[in-house]
Amino acid sequence: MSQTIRLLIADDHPVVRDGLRGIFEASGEFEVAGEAANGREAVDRAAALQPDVVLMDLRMPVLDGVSAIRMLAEKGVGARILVLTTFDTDTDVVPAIEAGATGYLLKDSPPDELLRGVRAAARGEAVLSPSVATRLLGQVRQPAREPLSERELDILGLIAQGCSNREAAARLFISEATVKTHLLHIYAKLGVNDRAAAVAAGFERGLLPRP
Amino acid sequence: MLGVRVGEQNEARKQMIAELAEASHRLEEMIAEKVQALRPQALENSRLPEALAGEVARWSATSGVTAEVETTGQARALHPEVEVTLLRVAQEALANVAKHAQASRAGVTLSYMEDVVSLDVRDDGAGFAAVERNGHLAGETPAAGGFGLIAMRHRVSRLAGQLEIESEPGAGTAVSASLPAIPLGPSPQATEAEEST
Repeated sequence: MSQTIRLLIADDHPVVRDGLRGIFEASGEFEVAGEAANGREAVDRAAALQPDVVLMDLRMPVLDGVSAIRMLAEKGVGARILVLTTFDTDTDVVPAIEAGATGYLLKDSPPDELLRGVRAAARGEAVLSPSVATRLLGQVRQPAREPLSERELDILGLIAQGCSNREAAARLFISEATVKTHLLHIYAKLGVNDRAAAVAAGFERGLLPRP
Repeated sequence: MLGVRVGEQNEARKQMIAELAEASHRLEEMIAEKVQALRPQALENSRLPEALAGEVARWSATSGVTAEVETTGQARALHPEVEVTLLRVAQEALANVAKHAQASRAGVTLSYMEDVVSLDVRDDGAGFAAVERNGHLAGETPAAGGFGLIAMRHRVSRLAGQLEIESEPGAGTAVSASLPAIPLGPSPQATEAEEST
């Protein structure tokens, strides 16, 4: 038996609000606690109704979505905010995330994707529509085909000596999580899938001193 | 008679003005403090590795715990939200080390990789057993004093990052935050594309 997720829907188009209300109420696991037609109303009602999740349109009269999100964060309102946007190329999406939104959904997402997104947001997980996530992460370089960094050579050396991830982490006084991340980069750069193959490739390419 | 009363009134006024001035000065200080709390001052003038080094040096002096800071990989300016989040995680993790760990040594490592940047805070202190397999703590509830951790995890996950906590009784604790290395300003690919045409 799961708890009902309480929602506030903020959008200046009544048709959109009605459509969303229909989708969420039909599923039985959500309660639409209220609606708002502009950013100002969204801030006031979110503070008064304390919903779990606010679905927030960005282009609204009186107060736009990004400003409303910023105000909610300043007021310490605990609701998760999920941005609703028409285009995933919306230039306001990244500022909205920076202002405190948990994620964003496209208005034309299929209903089950909307439900899944709101459930994840209620749990506090970041909800990134794949294309927007790609846009954010697309600004990030990929590790493939670059030479191994000094730190990656350190780690490959420790692995070649027979260290487990935990031992390598203890030697370098870092977390195992970071050792694993370095290892995945080493695999990608050397074009291998496991530590034994990484060590073998390391010797072959002269990256490691011969034993 | 009148002269005395005016004199008294003037005194009272002067005192009131002095009190008001004092109150407004205190208010200014309070506001300055709040603003500083909102945006870490350490990042105003220096980039993350320098800001972190300053933070760790201050922490070490206050806590009496030896601390080292290391930066690996190619340090570069990242999106302010990424840098602020990592600095906050470092502050929170170090505060926990000082409060709970009984550590003699702490290490802060900033690892710049191609696609991600990681911040590790490791100590050699008491450690604890309450780590569940998914990296969340059993005691990670506001009531159990886990509020700082919840806030940290929220900030990190908002940026599509991961926060992990590794610990074992007697073997210290490591907190690791890993975030996409979103660069400051336009993407390098775009710049390269422009240059090559």
